[in-house]
Amino acid sequence: MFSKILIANRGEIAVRIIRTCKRMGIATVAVYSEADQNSLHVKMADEAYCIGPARPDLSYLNIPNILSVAHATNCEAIHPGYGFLSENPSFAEIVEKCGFIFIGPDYRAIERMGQKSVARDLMIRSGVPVMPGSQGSVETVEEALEIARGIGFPVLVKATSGGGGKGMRLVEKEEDFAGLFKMAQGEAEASFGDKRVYVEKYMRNPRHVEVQIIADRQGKVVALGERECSIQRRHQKLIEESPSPAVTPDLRRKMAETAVKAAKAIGYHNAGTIEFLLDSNGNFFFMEMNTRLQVEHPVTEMVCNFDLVELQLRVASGEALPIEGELVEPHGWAIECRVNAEDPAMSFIPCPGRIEKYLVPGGPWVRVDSAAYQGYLISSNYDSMVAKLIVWGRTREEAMDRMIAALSEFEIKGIETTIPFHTFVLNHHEFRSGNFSTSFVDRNFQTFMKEQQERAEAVIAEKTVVR
Amino acid sequence: MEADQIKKLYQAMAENGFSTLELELAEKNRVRLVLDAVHEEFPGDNVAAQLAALDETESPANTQVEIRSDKVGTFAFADRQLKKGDRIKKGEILGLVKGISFQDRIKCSLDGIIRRVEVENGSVVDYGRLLFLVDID
Repeated sequence: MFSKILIANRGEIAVRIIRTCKRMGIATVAVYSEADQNSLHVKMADEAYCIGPARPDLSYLNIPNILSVAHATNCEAIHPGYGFLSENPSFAEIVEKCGFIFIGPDYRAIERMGQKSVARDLMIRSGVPVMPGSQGSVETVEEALEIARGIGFPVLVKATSGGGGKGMRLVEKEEDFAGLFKMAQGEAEASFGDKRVYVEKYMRNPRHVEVQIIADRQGKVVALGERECSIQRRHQKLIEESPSPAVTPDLRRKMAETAVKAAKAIGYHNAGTIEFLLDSNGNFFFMEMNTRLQVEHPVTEMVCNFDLVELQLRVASGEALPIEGELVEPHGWAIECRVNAEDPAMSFIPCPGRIEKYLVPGGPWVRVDSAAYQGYLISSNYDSMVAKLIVWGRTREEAMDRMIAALSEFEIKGIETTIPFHTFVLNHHEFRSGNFSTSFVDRNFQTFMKEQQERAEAVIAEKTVVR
Repeated sequence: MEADQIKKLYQAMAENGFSTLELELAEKNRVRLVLDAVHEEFPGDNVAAQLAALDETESPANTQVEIRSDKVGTFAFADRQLKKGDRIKKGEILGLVKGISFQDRIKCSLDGIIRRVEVENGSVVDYGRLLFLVDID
């Protein structure tokens, strides 16, 4: 096992990684930008070094400075967390060439999975179901239209190097195809410097279900169940749970087998997630693979009883996975709410600012992963996540009730947060029934707004009566 | 500004959770108060000590320059191990910051005398770290 590692990240995930390292007796080196000198990860690590100004490209993406710290402090390995450099194949490659171990997969796997159409072709060849669509990227409108006609509208035009919904266009009708195809190409070029796009069948109201895998360097791959991530807004997940209410034990086995087969086909090691679209008939299709630890990994930890960061460290250092079989069945139910500094009543606009009061919920089976504290400044330089609130219950019902109680206990003042929206979702009959899809947030947002307004009016009315 | 007034300002800052307060008074007289935001209580008796510290750092002579590192790496003195009182020449290389793929030379653009050395041979310096304080001729 490593004796000292560098964590090339900030915020809650850096704190999360430091916690496991502390337990395992691994010394930690934190890096930080000038905006983060009072951050929790800086305080908690054994050593911390400033690597540049607030702007991410000058600090958290500054490869020479990060590697220089690792070198000067004699680190053996680098954990990239999620975001920033975690899915940058050149970074992973340079890390290894400089003699450190990258706590993640081989850079070639990152590279191939990062190219959407390459990943798609690899999956087809490995026997993983994908949505019908083009073979690789398409160059011309004529060629693309031909394919679209073949698979039938609606179709999606997606950027080969894309992500987060950028360079992606939904085409409902044939007559709109040429225009939207060119828009997607233009956006792909502007956002990723790569105008290549591909065409894929569009599924209405799918569920987003992903399988967590972990693989060692000896070739063993294990699936740690699935996560349901359908509660999302513009491809940003808001609530995740494990297991998925839509996945039966039989379907779980099938999805896990498929995910393990896919990981083996590309010689994958370390933690990864294979995202699938699931239709209402239990058919699932490969969407993409994330070659890193995910934000929502705690729900998997809660139902599988494995510390994913520990497993990452173990397999990166060459140890074999200490798990029997190829699938870990979930025990109980876990739900995570991403509490962001965003105002849900203002279409989730980010609300950076200073946290004036911060009281976290507690009690049995309640976990808060966060780097925030009273007086902490949520900077506009980085993402707006304040905390991840995770609960466990023996049943989904129990987990939902525990989450509602925990949300009501969570007190954050000074900034607006997504807590009211989470409470709304957790109480919603559709969410509670377990029968929902990725269209949930869009379809129910107006109801939420109306309820918020009524509540505000009721408060005003009450005050008026008192006077 | 009286010490008593400053004490009151600190108290108000602590109560309202402000960490920094900058005041511009008459005749280019600027006061900058910094309070660690995580302090639960008003520091009280430490004010005098804090003010003394401010005097040291916040009112440098006009002819003093700070030499900081804008790279990250291991520091080494160049030709000689500098100490307080050493005279340095314009353009002289005071030290080197060695990173994994680069070597940054630390220079002073003017003649002067080393007032303070904040770094040792072999120490790891990070971005913005103060290396030397130099009194310029």
